[in-house]
Amino acid sequence: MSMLVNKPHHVAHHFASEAQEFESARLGMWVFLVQELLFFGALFVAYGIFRWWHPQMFIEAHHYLSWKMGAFNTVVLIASSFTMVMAIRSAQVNERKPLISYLLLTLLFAGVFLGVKYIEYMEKIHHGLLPGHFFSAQGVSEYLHLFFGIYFTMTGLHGLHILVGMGLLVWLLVRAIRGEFHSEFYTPLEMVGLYWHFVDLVWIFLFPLLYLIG
Amino acid sequence: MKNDNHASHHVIVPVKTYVAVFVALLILTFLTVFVAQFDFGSFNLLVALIVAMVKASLVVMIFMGLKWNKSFDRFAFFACLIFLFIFFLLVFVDIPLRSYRGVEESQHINLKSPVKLIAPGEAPVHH
Amino acid sequence: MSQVALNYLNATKGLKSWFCTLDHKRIGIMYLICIAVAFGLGGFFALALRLELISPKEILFTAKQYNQLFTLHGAVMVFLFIVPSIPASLGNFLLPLQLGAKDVAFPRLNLTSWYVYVFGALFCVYSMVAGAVDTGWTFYTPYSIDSATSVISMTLGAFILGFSSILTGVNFIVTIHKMRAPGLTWFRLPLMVWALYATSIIQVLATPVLAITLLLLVLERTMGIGIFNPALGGDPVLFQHFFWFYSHPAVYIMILPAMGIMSELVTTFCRKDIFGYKMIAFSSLAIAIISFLVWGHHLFVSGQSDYAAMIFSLLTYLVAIPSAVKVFNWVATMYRGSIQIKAPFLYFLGFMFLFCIGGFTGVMLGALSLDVHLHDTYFVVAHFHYVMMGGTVMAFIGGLHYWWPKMFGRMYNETLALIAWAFVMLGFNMVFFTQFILGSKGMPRRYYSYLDQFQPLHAFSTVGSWVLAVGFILMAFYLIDSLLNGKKAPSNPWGAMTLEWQTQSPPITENFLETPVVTHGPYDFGMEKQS
Repeated sequence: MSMLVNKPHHVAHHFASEAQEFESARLGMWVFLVQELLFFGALFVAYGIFRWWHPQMFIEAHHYLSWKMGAFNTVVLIASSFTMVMAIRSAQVNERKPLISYLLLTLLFAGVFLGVKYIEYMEKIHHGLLPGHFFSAQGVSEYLHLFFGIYFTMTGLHGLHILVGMGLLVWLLVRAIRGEFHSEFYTPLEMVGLYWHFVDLVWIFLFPLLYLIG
Repeated sequence: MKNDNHASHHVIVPVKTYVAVFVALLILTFLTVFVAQFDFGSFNLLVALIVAMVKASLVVMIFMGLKWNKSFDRFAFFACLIFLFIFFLLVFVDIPLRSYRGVEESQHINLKSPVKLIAPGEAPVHH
Repeated sequence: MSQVALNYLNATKGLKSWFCTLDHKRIGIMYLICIAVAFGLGGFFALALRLELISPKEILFTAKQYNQLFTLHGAVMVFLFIVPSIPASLGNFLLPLQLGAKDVAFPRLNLTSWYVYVFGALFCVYSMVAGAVDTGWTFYTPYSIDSATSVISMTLGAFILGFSSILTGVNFIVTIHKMRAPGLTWFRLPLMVWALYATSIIQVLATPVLAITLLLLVLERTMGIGIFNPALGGDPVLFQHFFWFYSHPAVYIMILPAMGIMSELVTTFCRKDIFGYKMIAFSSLAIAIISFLVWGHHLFVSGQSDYAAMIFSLLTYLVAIPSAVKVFNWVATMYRGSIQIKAPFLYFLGFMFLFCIGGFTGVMLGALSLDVHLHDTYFVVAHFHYVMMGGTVMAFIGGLHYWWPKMFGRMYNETLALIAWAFVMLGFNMVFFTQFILGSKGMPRRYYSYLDQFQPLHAFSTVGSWVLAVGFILMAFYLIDSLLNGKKAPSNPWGAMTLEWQTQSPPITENFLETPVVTHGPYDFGMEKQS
């Protein structure tokens, strides 16, 4: 029964009110996401330039990717975004058990995403479709390796963000089980939620740009 | 008093809104895969980007709550898109407009490509 | 010995109380120490390479060592010293004080950013001992892909330092939005706060692009992703686009907080409200925004398209407008002011003089046709040293003298400060004005040797670097001496109006005994007479 006791939240000493504390955290998160956006944005600029230079090569290259796996992973990530908002909502209405279940589901979807990504990567490694120094496959365009340089950089950094997100989700789970999140306080949930949706957002663009060319 | 304070900063969104957005995102994913089968020529990219932007807007406005969050956060996010646009724009003012380098691909001198070339139409052999 | 009041310096004791502190003032001091060390190191490299250039022949260093020296000078000065200099040290110390807040919005994140800075600095130091880089601080491809020196560790160092800078930026933006004291409206903020705000915007928007650029360079070296490597079908000029999308705004990360300090100094030492408060505040934001539109002027001779060059040239001129607005307003503030010539004000005057030269030559270099001739000559070197050192470093030192009594509760020796200022001004102009002449005569930058006809000017410049060094050593002496033997400082030695002077020197841990309520503008010297 002790599990169901809500732990009260204490406002940090340098804030005057809970509202000030929450709004500060939220603004901080949004500003952080702004820098994330520029971080990935630069990669999209590079993508755009090389696609403009070698349109035929991009069409050739995307045939080596499995759009089925990409589409599956898109659905998985969208589902994880959905379970994330539901987790926050559960905290808002003081439903502890659904909160924990939704967080677990989000974590599960993240794991599935990385699992599928692992299968895709293994396949690429097997066929030698890798960045320049490791590229060993046949192709029509002599620039084919550039696509895989971009592909691995973009999906690799995105995967790294998923991994960080999974770490954050585990942290949230521990705190949720301890009863730290309830209708009076769920700031960390909401912040990680914003981060998680941002990671989803990046994939929403990566999927058509890498898997569905031509 | 604490509760009043609270209510003014948090919106509890109905479950059906979240479910509706979830379903819409799935439909749009299906749509983007579906339209990719047709060739619109140079509009392929545009169509894919428009669908992606609709999906992104749903995530940003509903899941991330910018629809209800009218504070500076909203401004910060949309303003930063302008800077990203500037980055795209000014790089594209340079590279496609360079006079000494055309669209043709075989313009690199001393290109050391690791690709084992095959003729168009020939299927690549994977070891 | 008189009773020492409780303050943030003596509130808790022991090394642990410093290394685990969440107090923004202590973190500011820790940054200040690191930054001073970095400045000393970068200065040492500068003296070494100036010494080598006293003659066109080999003196102490080989050509390769010379390449490493100027690279390390640039990398240390840019990434370890000047980018974090004012925001992370003075800014950290002052921002909550000027806002009437107890601390920054995220104190833990603030401490984290210091540790990230130290971690990044360790990478840079490792790179120095493990075969120092020789690519120039700009890491241009394709040479940086092929160079046998330790490019990766230095690049990762700069990458990590970038994160420290981003975290500071995020923290400051939130602090300024959410932590202002009651009554402290946006237009009652000290102009230093506006400047730090504009700086933070650039830190948050531009630094991630540097991060990804350097990461791509590391991937280029390790995996050959090819996008910057012409041998693999990539484009080295694309690297320059990426690099300068950060690094041009970054020079405004360096100068904007310096401009903020100028506004504080001119009002206090003229005892007069600032002329055109709103114009100065908005010009900071305008500089921040325009700074993202001009990066291509570093690529005028790199082979970017003619259209891009013309657009970038035109946009570059625009930056001169908000910069000039500030300079005119500072001059107008001095007009009929009650001017007190104290050390900080001398640095204000030094800044005005040197920054104008740096700014005007910047407009010259923004002109396409002229830049083709002056590109990569000593003219450019002189230009950016006039802005960066004559501007930012002068302001940083001026600010340091201004807030020194507040930070440590001690007064420094005013006479020695005046002498040091004279040495710094004389030495600086000897080093760099000479380089304007050398550059306009065609002396290319980063060259190990040169034509005999340039030798007298080079020698003069080198002697100047010694004069400059004497000035800085003297300054280090009397500042450290003041900590031990200085007179105790009152809470408001200059009679300034902003909030940080309304609490004791040094301040208590949570800054103010009671949260202040603000009822007037930051430079409302008329208020003082009424009360």
